[in-house]
Amino acid sequence: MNHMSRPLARPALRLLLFAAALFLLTGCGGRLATTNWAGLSTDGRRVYLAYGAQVLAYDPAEETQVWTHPAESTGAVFFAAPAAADGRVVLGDYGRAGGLFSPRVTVSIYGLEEGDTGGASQVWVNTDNARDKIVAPPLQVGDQVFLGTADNHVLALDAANGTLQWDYETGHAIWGQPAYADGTLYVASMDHSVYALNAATGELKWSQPLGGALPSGPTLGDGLLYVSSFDGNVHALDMATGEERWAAPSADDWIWGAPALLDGTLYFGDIGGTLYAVDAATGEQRWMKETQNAIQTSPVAIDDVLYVASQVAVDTPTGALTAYAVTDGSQLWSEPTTTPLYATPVVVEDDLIVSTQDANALLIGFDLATGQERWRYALPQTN
Amino acid sequence: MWDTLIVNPMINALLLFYNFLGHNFILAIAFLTIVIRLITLPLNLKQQRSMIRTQEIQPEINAIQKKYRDNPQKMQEEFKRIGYNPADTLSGCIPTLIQFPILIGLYRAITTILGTTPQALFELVPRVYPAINLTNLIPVENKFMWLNLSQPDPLFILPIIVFGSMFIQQKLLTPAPPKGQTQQDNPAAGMSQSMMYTMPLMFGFFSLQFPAGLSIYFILANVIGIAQGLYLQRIMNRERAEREARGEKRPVVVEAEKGAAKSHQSANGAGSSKTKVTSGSTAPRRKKGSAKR
Repeated sequence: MNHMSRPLARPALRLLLFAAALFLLTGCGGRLATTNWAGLSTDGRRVYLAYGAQVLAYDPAEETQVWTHPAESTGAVFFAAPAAADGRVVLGDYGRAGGLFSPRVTVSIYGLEEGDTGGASQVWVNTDNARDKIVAPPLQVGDQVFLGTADNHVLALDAANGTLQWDYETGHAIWGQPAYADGTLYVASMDHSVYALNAATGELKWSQPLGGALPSGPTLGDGLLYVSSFDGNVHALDMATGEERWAAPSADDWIWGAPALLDGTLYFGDIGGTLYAVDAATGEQRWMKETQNAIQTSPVAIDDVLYVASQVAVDTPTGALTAYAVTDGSQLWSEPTTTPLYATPVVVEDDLIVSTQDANALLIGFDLATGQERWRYALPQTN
Repeated sequence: MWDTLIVNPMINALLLFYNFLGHNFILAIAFLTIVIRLITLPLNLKQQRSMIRTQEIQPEINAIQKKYRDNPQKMQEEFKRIGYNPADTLSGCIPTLIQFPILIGLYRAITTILGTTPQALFELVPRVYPAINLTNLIPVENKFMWLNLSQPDPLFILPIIVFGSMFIQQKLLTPAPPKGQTQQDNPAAGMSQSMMYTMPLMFGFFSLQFPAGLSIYFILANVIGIAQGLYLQRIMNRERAEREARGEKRPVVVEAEKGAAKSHQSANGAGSSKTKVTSGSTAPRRKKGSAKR
């Protein structure tokens, strides 16, 4: 053994360890929190999925992928559900790193125009006004686009060219899609407050602090809006004044997904697995059901059936799509999925569509009536 | 295992401090940094003391290694005589080794707490101990002055401070090699000198890439390290002065071969072609020899 190596051992080992640390730290996830579950939406005809490096449009009737955007990966990732209406699709990304030696992050909002036969072309891109990722699905209303950002801002853009119309800052990130009614935009923020803004000017009409963070957008009802909260309640607020009318059901667990409103009853679940039905006017409980599954999504209520996508909490988490009777919460059918279901399902014609985190079943179409699987869409190998 | 032992305790400690420190995440990181530094303080002090001590007697170590390269047993005896234990080289790495799980664990803890995505928050829930009421703490405030703690500093200020503070810390903890000593004479010192630049550069680069919250940790850890280094230097200077005042001699007895002695002289500024380093060799004596020149 060369004894001269002994004094060298310590600094050499250090260098080696720091090099390993560089590798490990870089491998720990990089500079941006770039993962989330896929964002799913529909315009009633096509399904839109933001699942990472691309956003895709899928036609369930034809069972074909219509387009993807961008065609080539740009380094940006997409997880916010796109907003599609009247042939225009608006989407926001999680940001693109500025380069190896630049700490700057560029967050972009895109406006796409869909063709009738397929394909989508980018009409505009706004890289100036969002400074942190777009988690919340945008909302299109007429010639305006509204969206919340993770850097606390509500932005109103011109839908035609993406230019900023107004900007309102809340106290924390906005994860839920804003809601619009009669010239007023309602925004639920993670800062525990709901904001009512003049949709034309961004002027604050009222704000109402609540008991916990608000991860989803408001649900609009008859003179009331309903907001789910981490304080274990759904809060009912007067749309005109923001005054709280009632809060229920004081659950022990977070209520994450926005409540679904059907025929005067609100339906929602908590992440502990309890499903609730309460009177929309009074907050009085109609029924509750322990499902054993973590419910983080919003239920989908159609006719007399409630469809709930959930996570089955076992050693290897899986998911389930379950149908319940709206009258008493009795289970009608349940279909297992290989990964947890975090995104609220969408309905196109007779298909109930869920997105999973399994590349072999990125989208699955179930028969609305029977729960039988009709089709599935796998991520193309070329992606 | 890793999450249970390292990441989750850090997440819960940060949330606990955040709760008690007025929902200020910078203060929570600062408090956790101090706690971590206090826990690792004895090991750090031992490592730094050992490093400085080894640097001081490096010429003697080199001479012994050269002289007894074919007689390991005698070499160990001589090492023991001068108070040098080669095993310290490895034990001195322990604080460095401990830093890595801490660093990676803290990185994971900060990015999980400040994840700013629904999935990150969803994954945070099962990591939080029942005693902590997460509902009251969510969302964790991630803005501080111009900083978004979950993103790198866009103004480059934190990476520069990280580089500067780490450079000062390294400079303090890396004893300058004796005058005239080359890297060949003392490779360990040469390596330490090069690390004085590479480590700050490396961590400055980290700060360009990772959340500002982690850069805050780097800076606070460096500031504490600087204070610790200054304190240690003061202690060791005082101890050396006391030794010299008592006239204590350095316990070195080496009848160095010509080559080794030459190297030793070069390191100490001595000039004769053959030097007998006896048990009477002391720091003042070498100084005296140098003064003669």
